[in-house]
Amino acid sequence: MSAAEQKTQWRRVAPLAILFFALRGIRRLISEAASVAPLLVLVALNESLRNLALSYGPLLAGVLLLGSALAWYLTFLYAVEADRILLRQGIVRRRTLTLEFARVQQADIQIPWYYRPFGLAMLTLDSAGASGQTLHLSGIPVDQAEALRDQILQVRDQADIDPDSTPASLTDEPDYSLHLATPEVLRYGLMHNNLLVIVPILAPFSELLIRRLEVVVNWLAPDWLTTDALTTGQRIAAMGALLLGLVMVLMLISMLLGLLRYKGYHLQRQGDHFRYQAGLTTVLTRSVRRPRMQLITQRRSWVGRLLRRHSLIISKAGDGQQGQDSERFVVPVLNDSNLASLQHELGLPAQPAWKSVHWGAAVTALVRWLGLGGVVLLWLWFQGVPDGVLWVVGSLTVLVLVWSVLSWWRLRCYCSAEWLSLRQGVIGRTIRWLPTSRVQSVALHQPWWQRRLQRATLDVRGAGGRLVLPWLPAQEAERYRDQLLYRIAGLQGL
Amino acid sequence: MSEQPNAVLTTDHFPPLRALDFQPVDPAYRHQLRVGLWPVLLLTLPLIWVQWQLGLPPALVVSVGVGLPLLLFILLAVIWVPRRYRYTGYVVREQDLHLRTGALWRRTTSVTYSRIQHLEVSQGPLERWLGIARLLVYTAGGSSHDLAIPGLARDRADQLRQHLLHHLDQRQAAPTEDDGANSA
Repeated sequence: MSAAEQKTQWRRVAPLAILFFALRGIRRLISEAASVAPLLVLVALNESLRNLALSYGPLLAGVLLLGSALAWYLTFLYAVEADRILLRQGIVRRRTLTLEFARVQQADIQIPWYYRPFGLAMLTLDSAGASGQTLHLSGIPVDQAEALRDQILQVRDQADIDPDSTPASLTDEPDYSLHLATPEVLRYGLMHNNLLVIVPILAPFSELLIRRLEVVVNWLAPDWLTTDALTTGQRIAAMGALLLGLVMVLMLISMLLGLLRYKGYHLQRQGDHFRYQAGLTTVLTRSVRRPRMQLITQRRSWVGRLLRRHSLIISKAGDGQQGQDSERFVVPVLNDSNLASLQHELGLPAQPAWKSVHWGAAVTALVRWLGLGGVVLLWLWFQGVPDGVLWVVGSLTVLVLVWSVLSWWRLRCYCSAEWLSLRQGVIGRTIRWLPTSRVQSVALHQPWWQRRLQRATLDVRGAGGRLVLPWLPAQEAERYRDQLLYRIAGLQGL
Repeated sequence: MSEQPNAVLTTDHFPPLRALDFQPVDPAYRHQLRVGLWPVLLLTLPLIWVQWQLGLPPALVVSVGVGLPLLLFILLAVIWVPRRYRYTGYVVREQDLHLRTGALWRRTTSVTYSRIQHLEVSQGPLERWLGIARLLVYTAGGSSHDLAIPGLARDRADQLRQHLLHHLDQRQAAPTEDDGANSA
């Protein structure tokens, strides 16, 4: 057998993967919807085109989707070698992707509902680097996926130079384990209600919405809202109750989504490996190694504060700030004692010596907002807008000013040889921890006013995010910068 | 992993960055900065428009509309540019690279060789004309560069790039080390 033959033993995934490709096609189509929107508008406006689209559109779309899913499936090949995986894919443009195991940041196994009866799984591999790419190997047997994941993790760990990494066998008894019961998982939906974001977005349209709502209510219960028997107060109360109901429905949906993602959450640590398994329809297994942790974010939203619960997110390289929870290593709900034990497992300090921030930070924020508010107010005044508007803008400015002072009041930072940290939040609380061994670059900012006051702002970047520690004593900041550089100069890689 | 929140390191462990070590950039960088000031002159248009709306005499409109941005341009060119040029400098040390910049908003950025992913020498049309280049240093994580040394003479930039690449090669040649670079 020649070397070339030995190298590439191309294999195909299970035929059921056609379903995966079809679903991915739909998802891509939805995300690309914005770019075809003009075309859709054109079709919707022209009557003959619309009729044509309505009668043949679904059929055409179905055939196209299935056809392309089939083509994707037929052109998708993979090969596993000792230390890398190759994918060949693409219908028109054939591409061969190579991913070396040593570069894998995260290896997930997902078992979607349509794979479960057939014992199939999807392996998702995330690679390191700025343009972090994600590789899906969908439709391989579960045991093969697990074996491949373990092989990858083993090869990757050998490539790591971390001295205190212990090659833990993954079948051993875990060193640490955390189960989340369903009521706990339901709390996640309450704490991270992304759907509530819709409310402020819709607020400008509230009048329109309420009118629509009235129409709906009228249809359901004729003459209920419009009867003269109801006083204005009663009408407002009724509308308020309806809106409250809407919010409750959103909360319920959010809780269900949380349950879908984190039902049966089980977190384990074996040596340096952290791994969790969760999900109702799609069971996800995700793992991260301690040396690969780039940033740890501890969150407590205002609802979380009421419920006395926290969340914790571990970011890997390339996650940046805008990554979604679904792509990260998440511990969705933690009560105080669980949080303390997990912090201990992660090596986070139990009682960090938080330092408050110099008053200068509050003053600069005040000056910035006061300036902006002043300019806007002056401009509006010159335009001759009614006094009411001026009052609203003025009070908004005051509100922002109070908020910025409160944010400064609650802001804390912490620097040690191992961790850099920033604690933020007026009502909720977010603590971000950056391991000093993961720092990529350090910058020291010093505007002239900070120079006058012998202060400096430290801007530390890691591969998973950035921390800005404002208004430190200048000498201390410089010394800390030198110390950080000294620490990372001896380390290699991510 | 043992946790030492207050691990003590003696000061001589981490060599401090001294102001004297910074090397100046090429004097041609001043010209680049001056040319870069041209957006200030765009102020002319809104200034003239506002005065026109207020119904001021045309002579005043033109003299203020042209004079004010021009004055600002000259002030910046005479005061800000030399200051900025004087303060801009870089240090290449055994383990790390530093850039100092900013006239009023001072900034010192540091990257250790161990974290450099790749390097670029970039030269815009103006820079080509002036015979200078900028060296861009990338680390993992961010999509943009972490450090950009402007105003380097072209051969100085290449020399610096060669030096850094040599260092990176040496590091990667060392056994049991993971370079952590982006995969193909």
